[in-house]
Amino acid sequence: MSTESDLPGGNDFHDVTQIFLDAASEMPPGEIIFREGFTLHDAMSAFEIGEPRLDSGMVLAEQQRPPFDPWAPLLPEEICWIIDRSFSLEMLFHAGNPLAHTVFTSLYSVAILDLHPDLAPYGEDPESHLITIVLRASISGMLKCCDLSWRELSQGHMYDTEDWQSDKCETSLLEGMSVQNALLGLDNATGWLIRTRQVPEPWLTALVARLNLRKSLLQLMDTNVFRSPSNFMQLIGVARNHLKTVQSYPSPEPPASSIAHFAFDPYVARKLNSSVPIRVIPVPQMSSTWSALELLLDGWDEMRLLSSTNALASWETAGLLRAWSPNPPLRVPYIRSATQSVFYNGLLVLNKFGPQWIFDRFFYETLGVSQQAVLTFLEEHSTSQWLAWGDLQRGHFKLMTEYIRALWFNPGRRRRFLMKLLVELHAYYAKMLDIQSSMPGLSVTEIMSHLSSCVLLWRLSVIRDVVLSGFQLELYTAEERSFAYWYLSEVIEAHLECLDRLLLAVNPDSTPARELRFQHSFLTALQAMALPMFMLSMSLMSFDWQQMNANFHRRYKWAFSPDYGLVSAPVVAQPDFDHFMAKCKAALKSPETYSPVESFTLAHTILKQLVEERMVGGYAGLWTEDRIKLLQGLVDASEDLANDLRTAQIPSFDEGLLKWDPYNTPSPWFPVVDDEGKERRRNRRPRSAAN
Amino acid sequence: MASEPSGLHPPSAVSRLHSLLTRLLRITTTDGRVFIGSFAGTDKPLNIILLNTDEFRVNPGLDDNPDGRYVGQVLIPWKLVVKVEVHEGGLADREAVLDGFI
Repeated sequence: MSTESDLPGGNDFHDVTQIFLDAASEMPPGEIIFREGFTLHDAMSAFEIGEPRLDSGMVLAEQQRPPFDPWAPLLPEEICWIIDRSFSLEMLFHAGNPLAHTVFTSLYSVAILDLHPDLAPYGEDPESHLITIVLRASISGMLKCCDLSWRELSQGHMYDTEDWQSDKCETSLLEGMSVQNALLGLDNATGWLIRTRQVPEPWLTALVARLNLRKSLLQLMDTNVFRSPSNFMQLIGVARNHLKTVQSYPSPEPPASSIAHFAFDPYVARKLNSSVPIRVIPVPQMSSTWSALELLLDGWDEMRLLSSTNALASWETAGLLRAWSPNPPLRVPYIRSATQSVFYNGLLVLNKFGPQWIFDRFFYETLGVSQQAVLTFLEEHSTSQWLAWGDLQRGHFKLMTEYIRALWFNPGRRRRFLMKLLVELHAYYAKMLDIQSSMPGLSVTEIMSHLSSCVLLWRLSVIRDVVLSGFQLELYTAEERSFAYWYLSEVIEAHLECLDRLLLAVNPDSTPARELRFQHSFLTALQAMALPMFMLSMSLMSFDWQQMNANFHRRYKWAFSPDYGLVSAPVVAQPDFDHFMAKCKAALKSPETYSPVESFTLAHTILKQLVEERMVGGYAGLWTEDRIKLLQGLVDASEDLANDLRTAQIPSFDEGLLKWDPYNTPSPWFPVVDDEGKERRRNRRPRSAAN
Repeated sequence: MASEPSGLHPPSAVSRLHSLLTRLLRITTTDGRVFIGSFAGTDKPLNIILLNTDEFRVNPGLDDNPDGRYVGQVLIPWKLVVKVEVHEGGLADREAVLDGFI
């Protein structure tokens, strides 16, 4: 029983319960008493205590549990299980969940500061050492990893509450402990286990493997990839080895009667400084946790490869492939943030390059000439008296660094960024057109006559990505898909025209030419798939032009930004609904003039050749296999669609027949013909005939 | 604006309740929690509104955050109330009272 002095606030309180009771009996019904300035409206925003949905501190009867005793003796296998489960919770935090619902539900992590050996209530027995040395080191290592992740995530590359949850609930992530100290603790724990041999096998090996895995993860988070790239690579290998050992020494779930279960409380947030409503997140199977950890290591590995990749086009390729391919899934926010930090640390690109290098690479990777060559040529040939080359360079640096970083945003954020970028790219394109116009009389085979095309190519690829991301994010309604495919083919048409012109001037044996030729083939195939999709998905439209036009203006509002009016140059490849309507009407009048099967077959032939001859362009680099995988997905999609159209004699698609499922179809941009839909259609035909 | 009790001569209990407004209250609830916050108002069923409130648990365990936590503005229904106490120090602010405890 608590005494008065036990209560928070001390003894300077006196009982006024009876005043409330007396006042209530005197107050007429409906009477309200408020302090000065407080209104009924203010009162509405109070959290109601005792209401389970609002009162995060309320303990329901079924959630009652004995008080947590961090010193309760545990068996080695129970320690193993607690460590494994803590790995699971850490991976859930990395997946974007709040600390209060993941890491902190491991009560040892909340009580870590009380877990000091000096505070242990019992002596020098092995059970107490398992907690004070082994478990404490492991939990400290995990918290330090979370601290380092938190520091990376709070740099501003990721969006709080969107990509990750920053709320620490005023709970320690061992911010004051150095990484070296945490590593020392892990080494001591491993040393104690091996030296004393007080833990029997297989738990000795299992525990050592878990401590080693934690150590290598902590070292990876603490290592600068630029300062010691070989060490970084080595650490990834070491971590993979330890992970394999951990997986081969699994820890079974303790029996229901085990006290190890009390080490976790999914409702711990009720005791923490957290205003987020409690959500109990089911802890995944260990196999999922180890897969998540492998993906984290893959992410580090890719980051390491990128850190030594000096071609911006390869960075772009890697970013786009990660955005386009559902496998591997979107990297965890920590990796996406760290990758952005590797690219640009706020001062330098790739830890060593400045604005000039970025500009130089842009011309070199598109035209095969250096920035200096461009500048010299301009100085010799330009009729303009004043050339704002420095401004152009700084503007380019800002656009390019933001663009490359945005490729590691989450898909929705990335799409929004790209939509905004399009206006700025148009202004940049207009500036290049001005420079171009100051050098009259250049022939089309002259490389310097294509300076503006470099920017145009960039802008067109961004528009294409905006349209395609709409399919991946499942934004388009059935009625919008036909326009999206038609517009995609229009954008690709403009892109192909630009590539045709460039290929006349670029040295055919150069790396840029190889990339341009790949882009040409790839886009031709993509267009050959988009056009029949425009025709076939027309049947999904209501043909209510007014409503469709209103939807069009909402979906493509980025194209109607008033900022376009500030630039006099005409905008290339703007979405045009009137043009689309005219195309639809023409297609409906004479549908026989176009063969979707032939178009899909053409795409299939081109893509298959690219895959078989491994023609992946000039800048795929270390991402060649990923590019092949993307192409193979399109090969499969075009083949399936052509076959389904041919064998099923389908003149058009309807909503039930097509299935857009970006995560489970060969290509995220194109649908598959649904088997169930085919069956439904087959069954419907005889009835139609009977009618 | 504070709503005045009806009538020219308010009953004494209601006026005493009025005098508690803005004072620091400590409310103990049936589930073993203690709320300390500034009294903002109530109604006839005695739903009590506290501002700048901290929540504590009686006899907290190791995982129970003995320092309590800030829960802001809360409404405590009378059915959960075991005891209401007022701080002797008049209009003492929350920090001054809790600092010694936290």
